[in-house]
Amino acid sequence: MDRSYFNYLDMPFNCYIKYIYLFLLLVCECIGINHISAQTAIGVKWGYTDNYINADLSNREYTHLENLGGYSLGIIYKKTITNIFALKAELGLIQKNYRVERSESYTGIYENYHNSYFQLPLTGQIDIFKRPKFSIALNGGAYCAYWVYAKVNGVTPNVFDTSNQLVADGQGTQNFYLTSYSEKYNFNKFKDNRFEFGLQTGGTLQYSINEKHSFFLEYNYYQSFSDIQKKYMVNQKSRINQTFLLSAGFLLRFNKKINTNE
Amino acid sequence: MNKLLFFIICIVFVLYVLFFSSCQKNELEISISPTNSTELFEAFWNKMNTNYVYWDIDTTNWDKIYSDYKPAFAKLDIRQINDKNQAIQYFREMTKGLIDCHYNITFGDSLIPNYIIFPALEKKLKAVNFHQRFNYYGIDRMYLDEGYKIGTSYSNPNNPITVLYGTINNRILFFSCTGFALYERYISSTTNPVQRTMQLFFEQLLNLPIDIQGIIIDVRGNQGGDLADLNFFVGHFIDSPLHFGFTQTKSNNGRLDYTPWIKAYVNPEPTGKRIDLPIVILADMYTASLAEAALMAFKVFPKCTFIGEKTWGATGPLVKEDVYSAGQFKINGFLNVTTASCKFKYLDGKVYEGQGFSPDISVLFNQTEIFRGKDSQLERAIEVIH
Repeated sequence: MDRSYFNYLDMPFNCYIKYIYLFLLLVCECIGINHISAQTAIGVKWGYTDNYINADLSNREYTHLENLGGYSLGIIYKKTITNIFALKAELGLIQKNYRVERSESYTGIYENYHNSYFQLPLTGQIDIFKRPKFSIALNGGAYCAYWVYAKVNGVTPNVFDTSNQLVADGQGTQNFYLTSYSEKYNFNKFKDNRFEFGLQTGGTLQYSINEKHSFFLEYNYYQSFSDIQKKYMVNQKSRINQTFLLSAGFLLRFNKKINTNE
Repeated sequence: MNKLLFFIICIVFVLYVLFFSSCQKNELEISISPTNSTELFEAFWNKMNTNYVYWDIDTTNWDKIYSDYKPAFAKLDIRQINDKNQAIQYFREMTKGLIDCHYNITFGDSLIPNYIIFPALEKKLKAVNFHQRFNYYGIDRMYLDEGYKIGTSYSNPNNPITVLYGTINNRILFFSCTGFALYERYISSTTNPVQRTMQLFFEQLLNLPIDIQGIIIDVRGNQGGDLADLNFFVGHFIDSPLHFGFTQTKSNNGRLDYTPWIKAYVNPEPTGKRIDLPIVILADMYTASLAEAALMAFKVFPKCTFIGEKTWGATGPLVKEDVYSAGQFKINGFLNVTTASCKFKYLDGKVYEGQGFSPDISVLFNQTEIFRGKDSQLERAIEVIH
């Protein structure tokens, strides 16, 4: 086996990539691909996230969960393994926000949770359609993330900010003023699970301007397998992030061809 | 063929990730109409877990309660009278350490009707300085100048309210009330004695005679009442919103899920007028709930002194459960739980729930002097203003 191939693996991120790379080499052998294009690319991407928290609020009256948008920014390290297969590692900041909203007579009351994570997905990418300048690929892989920052804002009825109103002869009513708030969320070490891991999948449209430069548009779905809470009480129900990410980015390629039959 | 297999594996992976969530069972099951003792226990335990607002400061180990009492309830047949009594005994043991001083459970027809568990009262009964609740308005009339007004309203027979207003030596304005449903009585279309007394007191506040040197407000024995009275009563002493603390409630089903703290205000009444005179508040160990809130609001005034005993310590407000999905709840036919809907934190950053608010000048209840017609707490208040 070509010694230079191991030199590539001595680069950053290679701890995980080494094993996946070896596994993929095995896969390549199985499916009869013996020309490996060890092409490396780096890039950046920006995106818009739409996150849903899978939790149960059915016991809370006039209350439901909603998706909430956010932003994502990341750097990409991509290694092309075969003509149709590549590995990607991305390090980035991603928001996994959600909203708790109330309805009917409590319409207007809500709470937005803005949760920012450092996330590292490791992705395999397989081209399902390929032309010289244009390709479509499917992505799949795993990710881990660390919850670095949280902010909460919302509107709530204030029990100690009210007005009394005479509505009929001898009848009064009390109106609660709505109070808005916006503040940094202080993590609770007993409750908050700041580590997250899960699987991801998606698709990529890529356009190559020339041999070195390309743009891409990507759609990814991240399914967490970990609860955002630690197990701290009996009868605890899970809260799981499910995140969609639509992103656009730019890749810069560095070419090197390798023949695995050497 | 191998490539086809590889594609199939990719597609299966994608579908697995996309549909993972639909495989999860994630429902919080709370039966509010239990049919047996285990369901009753589960319903109570879960509602307490989600609705009780003091879990972050309460030392009760609620998980241990679950492991200890779930098997005990499983052995009960709640159709049998002995087991009904045993269930009530278990509820008493489970809740005895809760710090919420509003907390009480009343039982319905499916257990022992009209039975009540009141942990705070059981603790107070064992306190060193415990005394029976005393209505001071009888003795305090002796201190008032001629022309004082007293009015009692029985429009709610379970909660008659007596208000007393007058002057002491024509230099001190005095007002006392035994409960808070003043706004309801004040706006009533039916003329009532409380209404007339309140009108006179507020007129006097608006047009304070030059000789008046201070005001004494007596909320001893006042166990609170309607939230509307905070603005209605304290709002007559201010002309702009008065920030006197913060409230926090539950934000989700987790035991430690809380909203941020938000500011608590008393808002002025349309005829509210800023009162700069010295104010003395008289309160005792029975001063609770809204009466404590009013006391703490007055304590923000720069010239306010609190004389008497440490208060009851039920500082969290009560509202309907659906406002915050927290606080009081019921399990149909079995029990009703009264518990605070929010935590209250005073301006000094302390939560006084379960502890009570301490007086600036401690003057304990003295039964011997009371029997002699002497109110030592009121006399101390008069000294402070003079």
